[in-house]
Amino acid sequence: MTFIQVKFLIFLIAVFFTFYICPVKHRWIVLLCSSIVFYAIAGIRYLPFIFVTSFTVYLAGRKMGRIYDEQEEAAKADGLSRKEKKELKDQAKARCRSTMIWVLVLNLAILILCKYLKFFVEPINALWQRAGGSGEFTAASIIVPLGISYYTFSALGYLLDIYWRRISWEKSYPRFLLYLIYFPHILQGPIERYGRLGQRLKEELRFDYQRVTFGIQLIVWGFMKKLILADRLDVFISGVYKNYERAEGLIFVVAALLDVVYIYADFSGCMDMARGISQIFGVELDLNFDHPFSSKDIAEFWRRWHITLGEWFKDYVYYPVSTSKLVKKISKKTRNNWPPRLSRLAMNALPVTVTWILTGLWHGTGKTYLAWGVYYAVLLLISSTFGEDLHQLAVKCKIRTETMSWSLFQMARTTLIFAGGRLLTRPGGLRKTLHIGKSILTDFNPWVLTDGTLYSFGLEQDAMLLSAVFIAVFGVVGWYQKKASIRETIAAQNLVFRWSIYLAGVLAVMIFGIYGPGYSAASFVYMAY
Amino acid sequence: MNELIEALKRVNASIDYENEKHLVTDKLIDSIDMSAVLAELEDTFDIEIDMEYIVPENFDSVEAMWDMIQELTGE
Repeated sequence: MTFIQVKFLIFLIAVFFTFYICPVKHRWIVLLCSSIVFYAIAGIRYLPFIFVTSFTVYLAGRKMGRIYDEQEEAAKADGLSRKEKKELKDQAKARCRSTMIWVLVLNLAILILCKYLKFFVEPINALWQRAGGSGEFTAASIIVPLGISYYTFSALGYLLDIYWRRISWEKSYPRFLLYLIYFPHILQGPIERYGRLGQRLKEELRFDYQRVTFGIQLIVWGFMKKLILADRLDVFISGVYKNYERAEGLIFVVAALLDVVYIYADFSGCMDMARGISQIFGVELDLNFDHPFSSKDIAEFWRRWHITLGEWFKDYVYYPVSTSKLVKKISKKTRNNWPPRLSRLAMNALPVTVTWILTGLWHGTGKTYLAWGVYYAVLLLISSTFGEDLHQLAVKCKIRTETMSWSLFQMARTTLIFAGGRLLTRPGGLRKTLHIGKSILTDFNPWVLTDGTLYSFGLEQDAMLLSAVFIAVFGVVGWYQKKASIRETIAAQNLVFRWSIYLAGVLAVMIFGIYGPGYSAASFVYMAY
Repeated sequence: MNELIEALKRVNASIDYENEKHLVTDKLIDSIDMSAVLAELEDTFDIEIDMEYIVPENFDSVEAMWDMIQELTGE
């Protein structure tokens, strides 16, 4: 069940009324039960996986939390010196370490086996048959629980935060389970931290008319992005990459640029729906997108795109690696002996490379995702090491870097870099990517924009024009959102105008949304991760 | 405290450590400098700074860093 199915709409309405009929103090239980039902409808065989992860991480958190509580009590005893208190703290942490490592390894193993085993089906079958086994495994026989990457990351974040004493442990297992399985964020995130979502789910969840209407508006906005734009553009992009032998030059450029719009509309559309659904229950989810295409460089882009994943990797991979003994050793060796720029590069190379290769592998396996990770690692290292030099070079060339035109250039550059990254993964193989890249650089064919070739990949002229209109609408709304809240602006209007806008949004989804027998409602891109 | 400021100046001498109160929050010390700062503090004060101490509040000012060092040295 996904957000864009009729049965989900019925489910949501049922949960909404049950939730607000229940007394305030029991409303979290309605959310927990409905989330379990939602997950079970998606696939009852997935349930044991999320129960194992939630229970093992909860138990580990409880054990570590109790050890730290005992240590803090012991440290309150009279007459203890600071050194003795420090020793108590170190002993407590040492007692927690093995628990943390075992549970971390167990849950990472479940994640890796569920997500990546299907890519090793052939070698496993070859080994199995060589060993005399009969029958064979198929990729379809491997269970990939819904949202496993998202809930596992949330759970491991909680585990590490407890181990590093950054948050207090959750005493109630049902509360902890709700934090992981909460249905608005289980499909595609955001990857919430327990310190934030866990606490919000404990607040008194009262009915608030404005919040409910704002939530519904956000859901409709998400539907518009997904059904009108993303799914329409996907027809063209898939058409080009599937028939790449007959496409060339500018067709690939258009496909690559529209793919940027597609992935943004698809993923941010789903996030709008998730945040809107959660808002109608009075629970704010973290923002996952903050106008990424207004970024002036690629580092800023990744602070604005899939924010919760970026923060997760920064806190639980980048910082532990960059503060590891090895990197500190590199720092000591290079800082006084190497030029400052090179020393910074040496210190940053390992943490950035590890973080981005893992980010690539989080999105998928194979050479394409590895290449994607390396691509961003190299770009980010160049940016962090030589960014200031490039800026100085621009100043020396008498380029006025404070102007709007320079900002626009920087935004366009960031978008092109992102499109380049998508070209590594979207076409379906590095060989195909190389073919497309070569054609973009060598085939000059501007006439394809006017001779009808553009409309021969599944999206006809009218549909292409409609997409262009909606891209402009989303662009203008995005630009306005940076200045003020659209929903508050609409809410301040007169009744007739306000409702005309709401109605226009719903009608736009109904009239222009992509539906039909060939369309799969479960095709949110990031659900696959 | 002077020893701490001297150690920090070896990482980046251009920062006014005595007066800045948001060294990390304002990105005067960025994530790359952080590994150099940690290495310098660990060497100077013979301590080991674990992940649980690596939070902006412990590095935003020399006073905060000094408190953390006092806790880690057990003095």
